[in-house]
Amino acid sequence: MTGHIIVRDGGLATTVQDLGRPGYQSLGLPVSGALDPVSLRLANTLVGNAEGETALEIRSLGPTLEIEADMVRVALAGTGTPMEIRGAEPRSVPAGQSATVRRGDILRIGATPDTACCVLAIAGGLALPAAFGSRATYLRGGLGGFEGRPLRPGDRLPLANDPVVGPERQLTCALPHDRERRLRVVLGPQAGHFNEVGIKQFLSSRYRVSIQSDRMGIRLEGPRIAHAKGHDIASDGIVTGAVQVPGTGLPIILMADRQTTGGYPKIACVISADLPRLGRLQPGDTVMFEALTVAAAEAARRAEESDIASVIGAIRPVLHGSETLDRALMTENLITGGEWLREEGPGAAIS
Amino acid sequence: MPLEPEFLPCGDTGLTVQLGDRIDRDLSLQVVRLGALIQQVDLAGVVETVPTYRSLLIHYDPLITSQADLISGVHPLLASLDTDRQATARHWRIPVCFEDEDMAPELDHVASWAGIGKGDVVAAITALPLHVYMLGFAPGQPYMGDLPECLAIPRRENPIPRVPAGSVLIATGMAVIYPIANPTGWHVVGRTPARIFDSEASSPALFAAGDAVSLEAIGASEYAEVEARLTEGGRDVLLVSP
Repeated sequence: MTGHIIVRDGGLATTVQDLGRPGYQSLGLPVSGALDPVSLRLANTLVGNAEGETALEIRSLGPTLEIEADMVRVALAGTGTPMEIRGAEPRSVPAGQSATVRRGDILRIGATPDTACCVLAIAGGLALPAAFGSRATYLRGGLGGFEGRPLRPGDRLPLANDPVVGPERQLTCALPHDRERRLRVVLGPQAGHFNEVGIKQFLSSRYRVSIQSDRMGIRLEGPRIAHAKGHDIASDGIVTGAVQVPGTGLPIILMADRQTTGGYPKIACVISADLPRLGRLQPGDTVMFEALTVAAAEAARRAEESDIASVIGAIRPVLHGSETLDRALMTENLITGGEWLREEGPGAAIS
Repeated sequence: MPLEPEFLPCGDTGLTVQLGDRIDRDLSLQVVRLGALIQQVDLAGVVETVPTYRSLLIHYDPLITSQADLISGVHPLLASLDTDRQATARHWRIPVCFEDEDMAPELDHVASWAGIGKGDVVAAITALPLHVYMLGFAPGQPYMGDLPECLAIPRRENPIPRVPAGSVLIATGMAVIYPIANPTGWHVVGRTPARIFDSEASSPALFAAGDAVSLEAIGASEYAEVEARLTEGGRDVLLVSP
């Protein structure tokens, strides 16, 4: 039996993403992939997939989907907005928890006012052709994903034929989020194109995310950064998170669909541990930057990975209201983070 | 030639190894050679390398290696960078329409910046075969040079959001062809009907670093006809010599 998910409404710009297609940048092919790779990994883990499986990236306003398969396990991660399920058993399922949807059910994800992107994972992923080793959508190139474009009403997304196994699962703790924290950067590769005043301006000013931002780059508005050596360099390679400063002096942070090379000087690069937070930034959000050494940035990434491993390690089966009183009590403690559960290990007993 | 490379950090996932400070064909061949050597010795944690005019960007996984370890791994490779030209280099001729206001919207601006006539700009761009230094920015996009000094117009101060696929653009004495619609900081002086990236082809990018490209002027009235001929004849029509 082959199942499908039918798109009733595509939302603002829902695309198929995974962790991207590294390996072809020397041909000029961008990496693409989820703007918030951590939410992609968590959502996939919640439905029992490999962390990097193909999933749907939702931008600000989610899709409405109809299930055309006997049974599908889904999970949303990266937002406070719940999944609304209409059908035989109408319900609202919070993000961070997987749910089983059935033939004819309508799955709707509304507006996500808390983030510019979140991820809906589907057990088994989507049976779409890979382009250059990945199913990530590269929008400007019309490549990968579902016909290289955002989802539209009437699209039929073929499900990979994986049976639903195991219980529904939920996150029991979250990554430490601090919206006030500055975005951490390593100065360079062309910090030398700016003088001390320019660097100080960059590190001490508050910048606002422009409405002219997309999967390729986030344009910032705020104090202009003066170049000391002009705004032209011989084009060189770019990493995701690089902060280029064109002649206007207004920085642009390069994101998942970024170009592979470019000729505006890059004053700094946002560290990889902070890229998911960068992906969630919305127009109007303000950011400040803080410089770290390379070694500190590498250590921050290791710490981030260890936090992610803890969150994944604390994923537990969902216990429903019909369970016994004991189990209901345990659920309560899981949700409120009761320490005895983790200490004494009933979690292990139920998993 | 002894090299005194600079190692420039790109956050905690990239290391730019800069071999020089100028755009020079030998230097760009050394960059390509360094990329090949890194692949050969299979340095731990290297995700991929991206060669550009004068530097190689090494993308790395900070959970497997560190920038400090990469620098120690790359250093010994710098002693043996030859500049042998690849035997596989080809010569292409690419038809470009420089006439139409829609296809060449900034030819006027470039001409007045250079203080010469529009015809002189086109003559300068098409006079000599250009050298493909690198592919970058977008799929299969070639960076070609060198244009005469009089056309070394700087990039725009502020990039514009979108120019169409096939656009031929110049800035800083270089020319590029856009395989897809994209934003740009360069100046659009023409458009080609040639497809320079085809994800279905066995080698998707038409050009490779080291190739030669002659841009040949075509009229606006023959654009559709040339496009049809290219669609029918495939890439071989564009080859001057194998």
